[in-house]
Amino acid sequence: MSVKLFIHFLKIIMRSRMEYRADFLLGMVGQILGYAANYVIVWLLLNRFTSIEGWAWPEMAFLISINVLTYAIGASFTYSPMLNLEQLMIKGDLDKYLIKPIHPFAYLIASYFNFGYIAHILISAVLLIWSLGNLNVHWGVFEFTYFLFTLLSGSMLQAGGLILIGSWSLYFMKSQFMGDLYFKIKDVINYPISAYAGVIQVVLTWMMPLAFINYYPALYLLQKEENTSLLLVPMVGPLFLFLTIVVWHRGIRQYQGAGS
Amino acid sequence: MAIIQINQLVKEYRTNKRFTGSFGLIKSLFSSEYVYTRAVDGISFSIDAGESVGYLGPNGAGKSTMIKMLTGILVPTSGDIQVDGKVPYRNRKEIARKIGVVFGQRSQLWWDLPVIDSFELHKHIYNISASDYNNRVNQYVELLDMASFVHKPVRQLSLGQRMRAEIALALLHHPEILFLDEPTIGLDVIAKHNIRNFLRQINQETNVAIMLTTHDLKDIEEICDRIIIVNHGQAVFDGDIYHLKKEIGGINKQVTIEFHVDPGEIAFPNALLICDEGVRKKFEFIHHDGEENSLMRSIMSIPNVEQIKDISIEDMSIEEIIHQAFVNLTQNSKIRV
Amino acid sequence: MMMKAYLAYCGKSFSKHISYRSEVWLRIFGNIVIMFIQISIWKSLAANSNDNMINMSEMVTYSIITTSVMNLLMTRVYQTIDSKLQSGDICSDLQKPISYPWYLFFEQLGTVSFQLLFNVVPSILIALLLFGVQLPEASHIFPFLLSLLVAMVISFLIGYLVALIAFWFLTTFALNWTLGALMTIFSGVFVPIWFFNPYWAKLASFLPFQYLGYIPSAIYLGKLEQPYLILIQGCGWIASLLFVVNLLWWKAIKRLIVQGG
Repeated sequence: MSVKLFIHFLKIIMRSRMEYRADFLLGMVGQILGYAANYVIVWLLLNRFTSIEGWAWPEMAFLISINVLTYAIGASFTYSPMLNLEQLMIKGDLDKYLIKPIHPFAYLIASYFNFGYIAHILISAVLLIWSLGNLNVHWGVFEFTYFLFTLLSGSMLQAGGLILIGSWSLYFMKSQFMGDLYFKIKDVINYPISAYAGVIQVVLTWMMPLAFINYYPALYLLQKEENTSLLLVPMVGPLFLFLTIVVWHRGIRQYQGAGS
Repeated sequence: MAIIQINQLVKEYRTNKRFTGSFGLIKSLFSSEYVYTRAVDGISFSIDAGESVGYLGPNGAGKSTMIKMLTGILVPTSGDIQVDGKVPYRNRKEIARKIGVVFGQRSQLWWDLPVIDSFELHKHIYNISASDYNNRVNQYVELLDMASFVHKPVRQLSLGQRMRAEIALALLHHPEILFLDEPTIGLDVIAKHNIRNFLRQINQETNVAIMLTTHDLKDIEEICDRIIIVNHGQAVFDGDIYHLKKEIGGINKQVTIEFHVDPGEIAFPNALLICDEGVRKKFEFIHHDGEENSLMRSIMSIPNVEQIKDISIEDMSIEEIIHQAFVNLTQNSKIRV
Repeated sequence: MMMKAYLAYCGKSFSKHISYRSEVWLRIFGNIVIMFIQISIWKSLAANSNDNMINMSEMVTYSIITTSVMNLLMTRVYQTIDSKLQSGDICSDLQKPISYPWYLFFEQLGTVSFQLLFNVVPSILIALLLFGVQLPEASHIFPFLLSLLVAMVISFLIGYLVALIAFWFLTTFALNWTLGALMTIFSGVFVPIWFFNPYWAKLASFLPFQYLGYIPSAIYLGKLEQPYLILIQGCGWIASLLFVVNLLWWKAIKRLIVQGG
């Protein structure tokens, strides 16, 4: 799919969305409140206990904001197509995506791009900028570049996680509960993973690499750990995304009945 | 030249075996036994460029499965399949440019946007040049009488209007074959009539081949030159309506004669008496090639012809014919004409 | 007579969930994950705070109870209405010769009974093995059970209120998020209100959400001096919510009639 075609899709989706402007704006207000509540609860906690695992409020705000921001970017692309896949299959609408002269994956992503994450981006960006202002970290060109790349990598990880849920429905038809469960687990990274038992830290690093979204980049950027392997963090996202797309394609082939 | 060529095509679906009984559920969870069902069971046919074919069969006969294999959505279990000389599921993207697909119950239009926006997007997806695009849009808007609603959001259109837009969309890239899965489902009589006329016209004018599945036999009668009837995954008939009628005996004519006074028993050498109510008698005239006028001669030969009050001569309706076809042809073996 | 019909709806929604029993394990697992996150955070905080602000066994119990109570709430009633509003099915529902709110209540009751049996009880048993739970003092058991009842009724009324507000918005998307936000903070599902700073604690005490998690847990742990008084206040909330809901109900019906569905 060319960039030009993708932009054409975006225009059309935007126009569709603007047919329901009031809903869109109300939804934004609701989402901002929803995420604000997540911040408030951590703030209330730190109001009482000053720090979690040595992370004070601005550092925690930084950690959470990276999670929310990368999620917003990744989910803009993959949330709607992947979470709708179950319904698309039940109603037979997935077939529409297999009869066009473009890649079904690209076609799905483009036709379901979701502008609804503006609220997420707004609130997380505000908190991110605020936290950076209140953190005493050295912020040079290198750090800035590293930060941008970790955001990109984190967004890919977030997008990839959702692609796996979509793949689940391609294999097993049902994915609703898998999705619910994923969203429960995903919140573990709103806290420094050092708070969890060792096994869980291993799982979050090597099996479900959620810790690479925000924890490891923050360790480096907030100078909590001097470990040069942390410089490799931005590589994890592209790798993970690639793997999840491969899994998804195997799922589509299964749907087409190639394997059985 | 054959544009679709399939040979001994088979599609098998695999489902987990379900056990019944008190432990059935637990058994189902752990067992890896499968039940195989053949939706398409060794079908062969070929379709030429510009043909119009109705693909007909009762529910569950494997009609949609066939369309899905021809459009590259599903991979067949065995057998050969070629569309425009290529295997659809291996050359999905190339084939996609050659075919147009209309699903009667699933819209490919953008619900909240004017019809023209969906056309515009289609143009970009298929890389249609601006001049071709403009010509075709103008052509279809006129042909399908869409001028009044092409700038209206799809959600405000009637079902008939929407179906016209769906068909225009599927034709915008000038495909060589148009697949239609139940194109007239849910439409009112007038909308159905319009759609049929248009499909016939487009088939004759642009030489696009049409293959449609339907439950509505009128669709077949008005659009298609050829019928393929499938049942239980097998093709039980492939030919034109005339031959189908002949095969089923549907070419015979039923004649009801009403007299002023009961004329007593009447017999014809070329007809069977089906029903005798005294003043009203019903005969079935058996068709014999080369004796097309024997029916009229027989009637004229009735002794008291002046006593006849009314005569009606009926062809078997296509509904009856197809119904017969499902019943007879499945029981007997396959028939190809 | 009527009761029989309602119980039938209750049973129907209960058995509807039975067909989804394969997901039961995933739900239980989800609960354990939430408890685990909360308990891990409390452990970490307890280890790093020098004074004895955090009683670990108390916090473990608190987390397990609030997470379990969350599964018994009926706020989700608005989701039933949401799809019906958009499809117009609501009109045919309203034509049934039964009271619509009671119908919704019993439908939710069926769901909650299923959750209790197949989700909450197994989750608590597993949590008991994994984390350990404090047993309640005998005098706390009765008010605790009452508080669960209050939690269910208040949650139903709040969910129903949201549903009625949705008659005007025609979608529950924004309301869903807003309700989620209020519940996250003020139900005390994660951070008990006794750890809130005075301003936020005061705010929480003025809202009904505290009954949906914090109060049952606090009563169980014997943290409230006069549990019965608090429960009577809860009944006050029930009464005022009932009043608002009834008011809105008539307005919503009128609106539905004006719109012609």
